[in-house]
Amino acid sequence: MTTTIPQQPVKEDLTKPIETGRSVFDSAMTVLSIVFTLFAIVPLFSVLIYVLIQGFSSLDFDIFTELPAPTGTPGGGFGNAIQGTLIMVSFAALISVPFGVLTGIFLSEYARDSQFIQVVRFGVNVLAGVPSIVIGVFAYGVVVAAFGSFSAYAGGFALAILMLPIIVRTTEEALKLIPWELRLGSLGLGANRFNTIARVIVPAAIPGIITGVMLAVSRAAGETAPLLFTALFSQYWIESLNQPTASLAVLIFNYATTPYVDLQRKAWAASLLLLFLVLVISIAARFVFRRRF
Amino acid sequence: MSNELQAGQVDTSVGTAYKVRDMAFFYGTKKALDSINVDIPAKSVTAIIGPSGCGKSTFLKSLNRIAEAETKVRIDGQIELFGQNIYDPKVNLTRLRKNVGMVFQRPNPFPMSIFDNIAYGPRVFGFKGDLNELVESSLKKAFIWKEVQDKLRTSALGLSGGQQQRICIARSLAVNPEVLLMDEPCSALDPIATLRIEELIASLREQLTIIIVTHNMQQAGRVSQNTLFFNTDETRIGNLVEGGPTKEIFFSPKDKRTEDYITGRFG
Repeated sequence: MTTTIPQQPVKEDLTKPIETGRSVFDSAMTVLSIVFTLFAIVPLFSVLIYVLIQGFSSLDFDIFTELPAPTGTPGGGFGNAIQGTLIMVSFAALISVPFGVLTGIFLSEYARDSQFIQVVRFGVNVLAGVPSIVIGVFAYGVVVAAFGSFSAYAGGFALAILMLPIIVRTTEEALKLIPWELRLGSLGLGANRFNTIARVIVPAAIPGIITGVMLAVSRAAGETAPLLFTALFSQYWIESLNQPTASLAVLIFNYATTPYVDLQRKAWAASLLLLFLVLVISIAARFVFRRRF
Repeated sequence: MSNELQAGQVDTSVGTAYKVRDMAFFYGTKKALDSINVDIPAKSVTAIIGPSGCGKSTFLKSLNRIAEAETKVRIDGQIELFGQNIYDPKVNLTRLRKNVGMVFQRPNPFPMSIFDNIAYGPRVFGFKGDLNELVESSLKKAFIWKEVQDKLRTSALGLSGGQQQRICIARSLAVNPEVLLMDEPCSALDPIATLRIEELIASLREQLTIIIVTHNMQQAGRVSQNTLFFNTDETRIGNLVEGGPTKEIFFSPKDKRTEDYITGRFG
């Protein structure tokens, strides 16, 4: 026996289009958002492609090994600027990573909502908004004026201050993404707070923390303003950290504004190298600290 | 005893694990539980049932003092575990929680290998013996050794929900607790995984005191020897209505509210 369900006529014609006004508006908004997205990525890709084209044609082996040639003389390189950038960014990371990561842990894991935490968090946000040139002036006052000389130390110090709020904020955010149940699971086993943070929470958040550190390193490697007041520039290889030091960012700034085509080409090569450096460091760091489980 | 339950005395002939007297629980200033008096028997399974918001989980979380790790809480009255006041200021939380394991609603294995998950507790406590052996025996006790013995070094997050929950139980067993608290351990699992956990609970009963919060009354009936029924009213403050041997609670409840809940008239 088959059960029959009486057929009801559908009340409304389902193929009838909705009012034209609404559907036109819907399509228009979709098109608008696609167009604006395309506009937004045009500058991004133009910069990348232009630096690639200009930079590659200007690259040669000498730039890694040679010092800048006297103005007007062809040839030469900027090995000292590569050296200077690597040293100052490493020095800055050496200071800002431990301070930044530990502050981020403190903000996320200890006393999440106390008054003190609010003050610290506000301070970090303000610091993140301080223009980098102001940080340069500050480092000038604290280090250069006190020690009486432009130096790699002063440059590294300025970059460290620049990196600090980025690392603090990304570390805090990365830790907050770790499910609360993992902390309870660890505490429930009798582990104390240190064990919970050091053995469970931070290892779980490592990819996010590394992303933040790399973001800060990229920012620092490309900053010119804080270095103008602190490390200045130098035509020579580094002999001590206590003397003016060359950097890729300042070299680009100096060379790009000269009328000499040869120096302008070197600025392009330095730009490409800076991009490449940041890319390589990021990929290497992600590989070393990749999540294993 | 002055603070006897009004009805259905829990059967503690096997010994008492927890003795709770005039306990009240506050989240900040908001009272969540009031005048709880109960003895929880050792080496058996006690189920806690009741409608949502009646404070079952809160009560459970006060038994290993994990509630205070989440937010500001206050506990009045007394909770004794094997004769020791667990809210004594001198109590070492680490030692208390080592002795009172906990399994949570959603399986929460750590993002590390199966082996490291089980070895986590023992390592924290500086275990000196044969770690391989301890991990193996813990996994065997949790009925999961056969399924994972070939992949101890792979991520615990790659396992199914039911397997993850048994890993979490094995992880608790590895530090050799006296009590195991389970907060709706099967609510995120399918019926077959649930059955496995229930078999596991039955096998652990003789070595451990197990207290299990559950929404599933059939489950309470299957696994427990004693049952506590919590309820709440318009005050939103939870209280213990009735406790006693599971059979009595289910077949001859003394309180009308218990009967209504058991028979599915509310909750």
